[in-house]
Amino acid sequence: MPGQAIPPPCSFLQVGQAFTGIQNVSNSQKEEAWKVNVRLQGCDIQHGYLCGSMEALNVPSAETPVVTFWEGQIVDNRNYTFFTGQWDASPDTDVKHWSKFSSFLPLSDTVERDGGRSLDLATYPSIFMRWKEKFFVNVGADCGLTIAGFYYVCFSRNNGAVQGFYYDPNSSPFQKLDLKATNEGRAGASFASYQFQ
Amino acid sequence: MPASAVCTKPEDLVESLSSLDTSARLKALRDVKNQIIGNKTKKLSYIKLGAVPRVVEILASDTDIPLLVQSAAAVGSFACGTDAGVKAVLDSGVLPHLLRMLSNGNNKVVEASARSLKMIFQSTLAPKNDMFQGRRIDLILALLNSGNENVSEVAASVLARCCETSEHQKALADAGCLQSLVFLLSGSPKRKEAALDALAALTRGNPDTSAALAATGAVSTIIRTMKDKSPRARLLACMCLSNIGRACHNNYQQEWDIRKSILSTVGKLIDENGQVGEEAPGVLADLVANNEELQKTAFDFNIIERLAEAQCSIAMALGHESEGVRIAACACIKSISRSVKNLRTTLTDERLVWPLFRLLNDPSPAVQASALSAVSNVVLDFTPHKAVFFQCGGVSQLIQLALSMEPMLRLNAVWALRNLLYLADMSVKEKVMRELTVSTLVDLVCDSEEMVQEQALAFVRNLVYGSVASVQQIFAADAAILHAVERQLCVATRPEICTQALYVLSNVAAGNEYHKDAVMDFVAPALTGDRSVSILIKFLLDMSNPQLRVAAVWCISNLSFPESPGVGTRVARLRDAGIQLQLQKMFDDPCTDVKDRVKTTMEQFLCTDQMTSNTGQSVSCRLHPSAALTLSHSSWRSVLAARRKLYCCSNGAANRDAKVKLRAAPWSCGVVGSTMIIYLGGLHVPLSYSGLSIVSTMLSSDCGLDPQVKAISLVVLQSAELCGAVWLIESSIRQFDTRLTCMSFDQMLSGRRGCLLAAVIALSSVILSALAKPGTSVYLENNHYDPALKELLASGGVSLCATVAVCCGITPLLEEFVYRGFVLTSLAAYASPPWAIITSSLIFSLVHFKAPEETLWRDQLVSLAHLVMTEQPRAEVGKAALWRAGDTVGHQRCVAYVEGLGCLLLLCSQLLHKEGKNKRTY
Repeated sequence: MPGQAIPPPCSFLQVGQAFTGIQNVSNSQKEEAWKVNVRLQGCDIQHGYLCGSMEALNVPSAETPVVTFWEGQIVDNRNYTFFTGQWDASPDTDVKHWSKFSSFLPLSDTVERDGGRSLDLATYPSIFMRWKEKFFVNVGADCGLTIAGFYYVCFSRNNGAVQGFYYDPNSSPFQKLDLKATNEGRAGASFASYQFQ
Repeated sequence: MPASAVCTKPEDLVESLSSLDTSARLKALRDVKNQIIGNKTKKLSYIKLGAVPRVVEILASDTDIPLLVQSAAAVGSFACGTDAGVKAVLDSGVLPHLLRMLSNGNNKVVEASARSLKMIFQSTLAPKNDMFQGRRIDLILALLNSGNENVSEVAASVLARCCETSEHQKALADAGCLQSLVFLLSGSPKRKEAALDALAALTRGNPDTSAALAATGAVSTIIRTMKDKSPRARLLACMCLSNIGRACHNNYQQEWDIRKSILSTVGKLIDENGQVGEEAPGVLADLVANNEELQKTAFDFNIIERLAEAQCSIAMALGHESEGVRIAACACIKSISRSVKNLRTTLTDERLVWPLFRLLNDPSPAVQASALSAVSNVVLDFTPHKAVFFQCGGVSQLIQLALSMEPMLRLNAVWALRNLLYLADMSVKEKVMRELTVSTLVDLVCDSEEMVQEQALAFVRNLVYGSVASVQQIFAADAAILHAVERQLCVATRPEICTQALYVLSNVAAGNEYHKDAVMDFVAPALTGDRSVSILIKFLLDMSNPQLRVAAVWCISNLSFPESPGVGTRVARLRDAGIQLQLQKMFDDPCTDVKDRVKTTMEQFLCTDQMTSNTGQSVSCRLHPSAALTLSHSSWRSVLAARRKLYCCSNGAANRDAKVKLRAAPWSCGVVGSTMIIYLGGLHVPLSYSGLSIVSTMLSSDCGLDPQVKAISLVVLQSAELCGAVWLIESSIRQFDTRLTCMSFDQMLSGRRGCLLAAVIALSSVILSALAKPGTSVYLENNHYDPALKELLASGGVSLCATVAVCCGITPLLEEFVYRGFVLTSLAAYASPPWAIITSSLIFSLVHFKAPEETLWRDQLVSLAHLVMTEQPRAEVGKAALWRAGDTVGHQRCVAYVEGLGCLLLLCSQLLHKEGKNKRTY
């Protein structure tokens, strides 16, 4: 897939950017929601890679805030495609989850036909990603939350809004993540930066 | 004679080494050799006794084969395993003799000499340059081609150790060494290793010899060797291939596959014990250096993780005595640390971090530079090392290096400081700045090297990232740093520098009002008369680099941030500086990010305009109290309009905080309450309620005042109350920084049908109520609660004019100003419109509460009419207000302004009857 252009940079996809919002679990047994803070720690659009930390506050089943470290794949048809191909996700699962995003609907036919490899995603107003939590930062694995699955994520270039659906065959289906880019209370946007040597 | 042999003292033995008797010499040699083998103490004592020169003497001068064999073997024993031994044999000048012996006709002599040479060259003390003097190189070459495996192996090992400079490499390659070595690859495992070792040495960092080796066609043999049984052979093969690969891109087929197999081979070798395992990380670092693809592949192979498991060996390597090993270890950490994940996991080991930080003080500049690169990754925010770094004086050391005359060291030190400040908390920033000082930072921002400038600006950007306190730091020492950044923006040409500088400004502009204004003074100086074009335009126009445009637009976006008090002035100034015009041209920018940011910023400009029109009226309100009535009307409407606008904007531009909060009330919540109490207690009650009795007391008239005096007094009292109220409210006005809670306006504002309908109903009800009574004037004439008014109106021209002025002018003006302009506007800022209306009506009703003998139905109508005419919400709101407020309390809002505002007919009829329309009593 080297022919595909990589997505152009976006102000809200830079290291240090903070997001805040909620995660919802709603099914027949329970209806829960908790606050989630996310911060991007690393971003390498060239390789379709990003990573960051995710903090879940007021989780009913956990005593303290839970911080995890996650790594992400950007669906750019260059490094990664719409089909996950790992983490127990079949192409059917992929399509089912992607289709939950309204901005995916115009693409869904093509994706179902040929995996959407021909699509030019670089100029699309949304960026599709997968975020996979790798480890717990501040607590042990028995904290009441699981990181076995991963998030299908739709990110809006325009305002940095993030929508996500969690997929884990053993957890409640379609747990929803809703985040917005935040200034963290400042009277304007502030940008930090670092660079590896 | 076994007894005597055993009893021979070492001194005697040494003495016997120089015996004239050949057999005695031979016996002594054997004895010495046998005693020192594997015994370090004996070795040292014989060295002390001067045995080595005597042994070498035998080698140099004797021709007897057994003697030569034994002396060569003894030299080897001395040199084996101890540096003191190596030093002793070298000092006695053994090398030329040993080399000469390699050409001896006797095989035993040759092998013994070869072994000894090997022992010597295993040590780091072995001479290197010596071997390239005179004809020795030819000798070694000849030995390399020797039929004796041991000899050629030794020659190859000697080459591997001695070949250090590119001159050596070139000389040896020119002499045909490569071909000979390639031939040796097919020999015994030992010889193969030696040959590979030599080949690796010959090609290390040298594209010419690497290419020459590739040209010999040996590559396929070496590739096969990567699967050799011996780990050392595998490692050496990888080294050779890595050298070739670096030198000759695309020189051979499946280059990429080979690179990957090299990588996987080296990756596995990390797990080996001993020397191979220790050397493998260095080879790996060398292999993946400056090759992103390979680094990624290394990542895929989990090599990094395996490396991290080998961190003990890296930690040891960091403290190794050899400079090269220390550099390789640093390079290795640098490679591992290029991943956030590793920084958060494997690199949290203090055993690695402490020795690394210590290497910043290394005496060798090359090691310092290498350590610096690794440190600059390791100090990033995700790691818990910052505290450790401070403890061991790392910051001071970095700052020292940042002052270095060596540009590379300076660059890397500033780079490390910049990474250190990434998302750092205030205490870290303060500590660093205390040691670095403002003046040094200014010097670095204006450094002679552009790369250093860029990193210094990025440092400032991280310094001012975050809280207001962080931003404040750039204003230290008369804002020297800010001015330096601004200077760079004016003169710098490299886009990378300008981008960093613009982000500095943008971060400063995310601070408080003072900070924003400081940035304003640079990007849009407030000039008298002539309007200059903003410096930002230059970057907005720069089509070469979208990053520059993005940074510039963010700067503007932060300056026009809707929640800040001085935003109106700033937007006006930005517009004067030509920014808005330029932004409008950028709606179709080829870069999506720029386009999105421009759109958001323009929406902020628009919203600010709406808000400003409101603010402007509040200001003029202050100047012309008489205009308060009309102003408070339009002010309220413009607030609503602005809100609606903002609400729409916020739908479209939700990048702002989740709820758009805006301020429309120039009064804070607490001030509204206290102002009302002061107004009622200090102005309204004394002047409106007891004003006339005070006047009559002052004029000492017991039987009531003359109607004319009464009327004029009313004018004076009401005017005084009006002026007082205006002054009071205006003095409590404040800068716009109130936060309003978000409300749902669409419900309130959509559709006007309800308002019109309600207005019609209300008016017809009022008219009907008047007509229902006998005579149209009944409603007015039988104004049972104000007979006094009738008296005033009937007693002459002056009295009539004054009363009309009071009732139709001053009082409505006052009440409009206080209750609608002030109370309602303020309440609407903190509550939803229906509640604001109801509450303000309640307050009004309570203040003007009258005895309940009033006819309730009329008051309800009046109330309805009033609400509908003035606030224009939907009819439901009016009704709600009516039933809740009007029904319970005698709501007496006067019909006067129902008529005054909308019902000309009624007004005319009232004037015609020369009756006051006002039912309000004093």
